[in-house]
Amino acid sequence: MNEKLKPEFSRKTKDNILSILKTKENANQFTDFVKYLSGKTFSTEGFDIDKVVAKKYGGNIPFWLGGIKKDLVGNNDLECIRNFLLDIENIVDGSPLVRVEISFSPSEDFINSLYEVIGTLEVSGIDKNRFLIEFEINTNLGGGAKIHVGGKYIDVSLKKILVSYLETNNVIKRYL
Amino acid sequence: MNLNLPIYFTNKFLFTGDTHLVVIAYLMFIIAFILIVYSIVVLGKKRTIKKKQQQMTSEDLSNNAYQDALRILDRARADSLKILSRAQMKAQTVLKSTYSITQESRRELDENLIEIYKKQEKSLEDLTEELLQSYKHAVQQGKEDNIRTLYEATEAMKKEALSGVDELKTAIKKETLGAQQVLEEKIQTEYSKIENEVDIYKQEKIKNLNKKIFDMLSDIYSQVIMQDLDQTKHEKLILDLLKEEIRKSGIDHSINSVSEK
Repeated sequence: MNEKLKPEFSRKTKDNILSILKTKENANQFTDFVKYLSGKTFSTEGFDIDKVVAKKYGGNIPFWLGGIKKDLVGNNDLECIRNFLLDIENIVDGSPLVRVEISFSPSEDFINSLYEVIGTLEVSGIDKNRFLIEFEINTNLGGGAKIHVGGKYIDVSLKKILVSYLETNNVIKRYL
Repeated sequence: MNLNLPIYFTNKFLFTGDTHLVVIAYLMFIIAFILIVYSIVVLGKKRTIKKKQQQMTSEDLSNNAYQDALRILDRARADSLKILSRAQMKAQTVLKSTYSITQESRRELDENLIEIYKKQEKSLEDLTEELLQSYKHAVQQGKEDNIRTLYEATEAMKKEALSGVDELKTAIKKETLGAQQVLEEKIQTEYSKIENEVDIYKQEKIKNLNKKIFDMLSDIYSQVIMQDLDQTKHEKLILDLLKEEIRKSGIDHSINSVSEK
């Protein structure tokens, strides 16, 4: 841990970075930003996080940036900053993935809720709030979703639910 | 008929008459010769003895003795000749008589022979006849025995064959029944096996068909349901289904209520 950064923030940031990012897509964006930011620490013009962010994203700042900014604002130790960014990058790159197959682009609320629900699972390799969700859009899936988590497979597709319902109620014998 | 010559004409031993007479003649000659020799020897000995006794006497005595000896010798010679001639005559007489006896006996012998021959022939004929009869009888007996034996053998073989046929029939029947039973069991087993396989196939087919029906129905229902679902409801549905599935499978740490939009 870097002693020259604000320790409680940096530790908290590292602990919560995955739950902040939540998705692989965000993690990829984050990794790009971290690489970009690391590059900027070598600039001769000095390092100003706000300027860098404004230059990179303009007005469209990603929501996950807030947590990192708190740790980096007012800090002029570029070496320290670089190490911090490297630590975070390693955490993100090494995080376990949960693959979710759905037929639509999920909303933020859905992602948040889904992250919470998956966080309740007792599955090896998945710690609460220490994983990322990778969404796979499959329009042929129809309703529901299929989730691959820690070697387990959870099928909550609409087709499976309906087939299970039809089999259980012996629909063919009763109605056909 | 036997003559009174003891040993010659018997049933056991037959000589011819000539041989007999010749033998007798030879015997007579031998006897005569022996007598002559005897006389010579005896006289010789006497002479020798006398000669010895009168040796010491004079020559007269010896001359007398010599003369006596000569006389004796002559007398012996004459006697021997007489004997010889007598023997010869007797032998001739015997020979003559034997010749006549021989003719007689030959004739009798021939007659006897003829009779014996006839008897023998008759007895031989009888014997032959008897033998023939007994042979015929034996042959007949043998034939009858053979026929009987053949009949008995045939009967035994027939019996044997029939019993063999019966045994064979029984064995075939048993084997056939056994084989039939085995075949029935085998067919039953195979039939059951095939029935099971058909049942399994039917079940499999029905299951596949049902699955296809279910798939089709679920596709239809999904499409119908999705038409009514917006994204919010869809997301809520997914979350609810996931929570339900997690609860059923029991792989959750704890189920917290999720804040919904």
